[in-house]
Amino acid sequence: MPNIDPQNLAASLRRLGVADGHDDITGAIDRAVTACVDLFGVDGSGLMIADDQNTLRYLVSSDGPGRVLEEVQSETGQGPCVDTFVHGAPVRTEDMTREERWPRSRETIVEHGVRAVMGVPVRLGGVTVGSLDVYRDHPHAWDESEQDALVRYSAVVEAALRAALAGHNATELAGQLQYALDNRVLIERAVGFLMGRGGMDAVSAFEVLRSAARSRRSKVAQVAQEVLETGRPPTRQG
Amino acid sequence: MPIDDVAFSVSLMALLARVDLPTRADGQDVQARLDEVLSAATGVLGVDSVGLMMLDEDDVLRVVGVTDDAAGVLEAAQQRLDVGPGIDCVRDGAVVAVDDLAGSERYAPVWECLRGPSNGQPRGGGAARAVLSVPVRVRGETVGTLNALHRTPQRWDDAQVRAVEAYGAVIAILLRLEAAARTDGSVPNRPRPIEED
Repeated sequence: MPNIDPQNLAASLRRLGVADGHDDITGAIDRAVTACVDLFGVDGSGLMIADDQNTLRYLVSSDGPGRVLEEVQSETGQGPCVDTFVHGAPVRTEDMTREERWPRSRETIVEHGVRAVMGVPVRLGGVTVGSLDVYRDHPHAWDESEQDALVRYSAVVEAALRAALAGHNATELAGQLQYALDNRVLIERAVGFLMGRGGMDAVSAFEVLRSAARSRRSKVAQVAQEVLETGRPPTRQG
Repeated sequence: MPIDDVAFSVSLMALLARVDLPTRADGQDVQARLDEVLSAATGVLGVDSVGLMMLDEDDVLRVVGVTDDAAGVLEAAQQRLDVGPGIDCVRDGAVVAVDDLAGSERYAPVWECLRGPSNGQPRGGGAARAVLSVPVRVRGETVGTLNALHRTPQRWDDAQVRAVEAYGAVIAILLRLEAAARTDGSVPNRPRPIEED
């Protein structure tokens, strides 16, 4: 770690730790995400994190339109942040009004004044756990340097999340790790199976698993396992 | 818009349940995270390098991290001379922008130090020329400074100042989280044994 002086860092943290033991974790994550507005000169920013159903949930947004952008994606399972999460890669759109990829969420997003959107994956421990997004209220062709900068900044949001999680029980975390990663592998294999079998893309395949799990109130990983065992697409609750 | 606390708690629990966060020896995680955040700063801010100086318990300004030699030389010079944009930034709690150190009367001793002993050649592949020092504030108090620099003279515009200030605020947030994690019992913060000096 050649860049950091451990002793001077420790001295600084000792000073910061003197006044009070706890800081507001939620507020800290909120500020780390909304800083994107000043850092990148965008109109809004937000963070979505996957829940235990692997459904992306709104977590933070800098403003109202940003919140709508995230909520409608959570409801419909469609949108740039969902694709970012599913593919684990940056996704950008220059103008939502001309977008054909996300018909179910497009109209609501445009209605609320969100036009150009860019999302990058947020990873923890090598697993994609969410999506960091920025938007502009007018059409904008994002260039590579803007994408690179947001990808770099996702590392900062990841560091803030890890710092927040560091205050929690690490042994509990370790115990559940393997199970969780196994689940993720199952889901990815089932997505691959459905893509090959049903001629659908990864986002649609993931959505099939997710909606089946929802309708049956079971976990996406359970549905994925069933698909792999039976060799058939999932059935909804009936 | 405030964060959704319920959604946040649910998501944190979900993350805890399925993500590998390998823990390292005491303090190394913190170093790694800060190293990532400083390294990312150059790409996010579009500057050549950054340095971070923070006050310790005795109000002494110490160099906590730098991204390259140019920042290292600048921070060391400021610390040694007790002169420089970062020093003024912490003392006044305000942004200090220097478009060209070589043309700055106020910081002439710093530039003398940076350009080398006698021949006027910059050290380490190019010394800092343009410097922007922003406060790192915790609970309203200035506890350090983030110094962004270019190796060529440059005029800092408002958008750049806002961006570097925002980054300084994010570093403050991260350090607060780290400090809190050290004091809530999850990471022991014991006095060092005598034999370790």
